[in-house]
Amino acid sequence: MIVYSVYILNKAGGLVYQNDINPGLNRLSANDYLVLAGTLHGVHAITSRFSHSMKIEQNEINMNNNSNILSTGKSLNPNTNRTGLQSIETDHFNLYIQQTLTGIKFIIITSPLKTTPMSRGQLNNELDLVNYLFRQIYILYGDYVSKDPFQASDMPIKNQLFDTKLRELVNQ
Amino acid sequence: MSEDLIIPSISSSVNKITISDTSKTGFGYNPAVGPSSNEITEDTSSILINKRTISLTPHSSNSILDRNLNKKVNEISLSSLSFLFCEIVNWCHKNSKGIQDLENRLNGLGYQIGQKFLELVKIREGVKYSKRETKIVEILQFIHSSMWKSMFGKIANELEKSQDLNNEYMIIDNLPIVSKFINVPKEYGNLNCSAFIAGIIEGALDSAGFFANVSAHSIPKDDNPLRTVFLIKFDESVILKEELRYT
Amino acid sequence: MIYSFYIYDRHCQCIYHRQYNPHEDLNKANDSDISKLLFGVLYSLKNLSGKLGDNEAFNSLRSFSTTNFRIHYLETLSNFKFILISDNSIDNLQNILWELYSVHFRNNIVLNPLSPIDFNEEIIDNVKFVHQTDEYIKSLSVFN
Repeated sequence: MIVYSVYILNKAGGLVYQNDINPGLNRLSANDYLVLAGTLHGVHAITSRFSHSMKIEQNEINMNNNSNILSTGKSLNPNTNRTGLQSIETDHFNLYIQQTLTGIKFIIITSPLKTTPMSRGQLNNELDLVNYLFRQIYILYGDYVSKDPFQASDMPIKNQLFDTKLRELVNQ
Repeated sequence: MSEDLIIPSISSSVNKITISDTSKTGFGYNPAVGPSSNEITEDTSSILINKRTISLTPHSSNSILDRNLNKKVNEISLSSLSFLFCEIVNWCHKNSKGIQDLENRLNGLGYQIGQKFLELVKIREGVKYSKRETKIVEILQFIHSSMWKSMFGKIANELEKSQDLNNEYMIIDNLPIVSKFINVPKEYGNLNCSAFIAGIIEGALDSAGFFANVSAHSIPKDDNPLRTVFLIKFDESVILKEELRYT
Repeated sequence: MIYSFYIYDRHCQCIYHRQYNPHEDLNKANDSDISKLLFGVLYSLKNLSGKLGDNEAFNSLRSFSTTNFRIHYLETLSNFKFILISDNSIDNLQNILWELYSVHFRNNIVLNPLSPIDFNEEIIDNVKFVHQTDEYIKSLSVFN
């Protein structure tokens, strides 16, 4: 799995960070990236309405999560994206959306996974990998972005330290 | 809509507590509603009042202020330190008129710490082994190793003497801990938040009787982008004193 | 598990909706908000994947997922959109969608002189089509 890009959206759906780490995606204009971020934010919210009306059992996920928190005292997964859009698979890339407790969205775009017809669970395994990566990126974000006195919250992130650390993490 | 509420410390009664008005998506942030509410209603408050708790706030016997001063290892969380320092920089920045002023303010805050910290390190070294440094090189070595170690848990990377000026010395740290997570934007020029540490050095030197001006400068190297040089300029009187006494 | 099956025509109309799980329904929700939202979401995501993908070849959307389900998507050259909703352990239903289009849809709708090709406010209620697709989808190993 090659990571093409990492984007960060603030809780209003604005694109605050963009790092195209490895080539593989089309370059868009700055405005198009903002539109793209807004689209993902909107679609994410809409898809969480699907789950409610499609009457699919979702208590199980919450129960598992809750019992995890009860037994260990901490939430093992910082991803709070429970019902919204989680991943997109296309011919040229896969895109994953993770959300933190404060509503910041991390978008990770990777090379596509070749799935065989009728296979089961391959994409979910890939999702676990991406979730691990997300945890690491979130730690970097917590260190290098939120502890930076010159970084206002919800504002665009221009931070060389964060850039280099992220690149090191993704390419290791 | 109702849902089970999580209160980690009560395990048996958890399933009975329900809270209206929370989203179905679990706790946390729901894009459609915002952060979900953990509001405490009448039903839950009685349970909360009756539950047994363990106090986590320090009281007289174990607060940090009442511990033995001589205890050598006093570790604190790097995260809380970074957040505190982040706010200190923000606060100074808000009050300052410019970059130079901001550095002066950070330096001033550090100065007061340095004055007191010198004494603390000396006390911790113990009366037996501790002595008052009288030579420039000795006090610098003391700051470079012992004091650095008790402040940051490591010794500074290098200690150098200027070849051109005989009153200039340099202490070099490849990764100053307080500014580990600070990225200075380009428009702030050569601001270095380690001016705070420079202030600590200055305070310590001054109260040891070596009057000096200390400033912090970023001199990055490839693998150490945050490498910082603390430039120490001693007062002429200090140099004179040293010459009279030891030559 | 496969939850439901949708077909949209090129006028953005939902012309066929078949629900399998948890209960069976036929053409009950063609005009519902959900079917409209689903179309909107697919439209946005299709545009997004077209833009971001490599310039050299057209990049088509295959599927997207939430924690609870995965939506598989196939668009034909005639702009019919075939959609299967399954639980999210099923990775790839592209060939099933293709089979539904190239065999069952073709035989019962395209080659059927009595059936319209351009659906104007109409829906598919062809009993044979319903019967055949049901049989095909229910015979899949991933159906339950």
